[in-house]
Amino acid sequence: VEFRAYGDRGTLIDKLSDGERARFIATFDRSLPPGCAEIVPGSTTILCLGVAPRALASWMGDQLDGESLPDESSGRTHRIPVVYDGPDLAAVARAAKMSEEAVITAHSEASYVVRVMGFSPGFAYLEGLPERLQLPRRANPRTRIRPGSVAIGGPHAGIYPVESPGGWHILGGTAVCLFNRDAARAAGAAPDEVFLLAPGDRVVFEREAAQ
Amino acid sequence: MIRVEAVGSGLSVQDSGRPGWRRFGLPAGGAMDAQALAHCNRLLGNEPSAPALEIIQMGARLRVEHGGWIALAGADACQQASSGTAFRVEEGACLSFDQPCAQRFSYLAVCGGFRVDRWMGSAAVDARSGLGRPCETGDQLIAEHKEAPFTTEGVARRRLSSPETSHLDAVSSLTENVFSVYPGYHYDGFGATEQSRFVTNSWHVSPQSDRSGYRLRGDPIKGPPGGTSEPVLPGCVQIPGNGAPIVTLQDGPTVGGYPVIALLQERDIGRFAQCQTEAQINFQWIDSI
Repeated sequence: VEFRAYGDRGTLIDKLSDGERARFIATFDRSLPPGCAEIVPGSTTILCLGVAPRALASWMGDQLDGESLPDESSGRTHRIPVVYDGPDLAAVARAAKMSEEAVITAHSEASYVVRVMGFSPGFAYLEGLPERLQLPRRANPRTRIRPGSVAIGGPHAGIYPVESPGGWHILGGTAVCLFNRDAARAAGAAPDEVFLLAPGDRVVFEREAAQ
Repeated sequence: MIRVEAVGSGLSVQDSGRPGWRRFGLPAGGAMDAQALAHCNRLLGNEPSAPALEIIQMGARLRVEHGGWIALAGADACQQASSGTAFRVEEGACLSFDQPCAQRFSYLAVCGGFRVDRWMGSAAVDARSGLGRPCETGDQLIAEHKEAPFTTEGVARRRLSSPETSHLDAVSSLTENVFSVYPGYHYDGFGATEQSRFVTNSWHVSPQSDRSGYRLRGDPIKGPPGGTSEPVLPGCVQIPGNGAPIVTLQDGPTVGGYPVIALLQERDIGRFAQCQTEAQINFQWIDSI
């Protein structure tokens, strides 16, 4: 594990094993070090804003010396109903040399974990995509993708929470709301009222018949 | 009390943003020049983070529908009043932001800030995240208070001092704008030649620049390939495949896959954001590497 200065903003924790990364995130979920405004998990790193490397390393050491190590699998499980009628289903099937049926089965039978969030608010990079479905992103990204689009790109699966451009392959759609802007208008709204997913959560896709 | 008659290059309500949500993919957003926002609010005795209008140069025109006090800070683009002052406007008055100036953003505050929608407690419009939208022609904006909470004579004498506007005075469209930068997360991956070219090259702010980030034009930098998505902050300088730096700003994504070569100092973000299209940018490495 390496604690590196992130300019004058804080510390980037680097060279983490998956186990260490999960344990550190769970530790931050319990409490933040003095002076820390927020933490941001990356795919392989964790950014801790407002704390210098040495202070953070010593705080983290104290936390991990404690008796009750947080359970690293503290996330919730979300079941997301999906109608598999996406515009890229056929192309993905061709590229993966599978039938469309087999693509749907592979995508919906896997179980996923939220590795990192970003790109757009509420967008989760889900790990756990079967290797056969890991394809390069589209050569021509779309300029507008509908919210609720269920897609795959590179090693990840994901769901577009807001309208945005995007280069992932769209397999289907869900009616589930990932970013609840109305809840965000209430003063003091809790994160889980605003965002469906959080880093560390598990996701399962469930096939739903088209309406 | 104010009606938008022309949006020009664009205007939106901004405050100091909504920190604390980056891990869900939501940037803090807020005023591109936080210092100028705080200053225009202070001129009226508002909270430094009160919602104000962020006006991009040039071409915006506002009509006053009910008289009241107003303060301006940031780019000195308003034809009727100077930046760094508070003044009274009467019903029917017009404020046009069409004076050429070196800076990009003007801020207009009203008493108590604008009465607008908030998300996560912040009024900052972040169109990319779907939180509000920039102002459109015909929009009406209402002040929280009708009158300043102190005597008008006191307000009229207020003026920003030169240390308060020094970051603006330093912005130039004619000569170089120099920024000291920290090495970024992927600095080592660039190698000595590219590290040195990054600071010896001169860069220019590309027209493809917005509240999410500014692209810089210049002799391309060769970087390591893109990789995993790691945290980025306003002020991060990323080098995508085409070698032209992208400086992430307030509404930019919270994680990025392009290698990060450098990071602006936090206090320089406002000065950087104020640089106009085509302004010359030069970087220098902060010594203590």
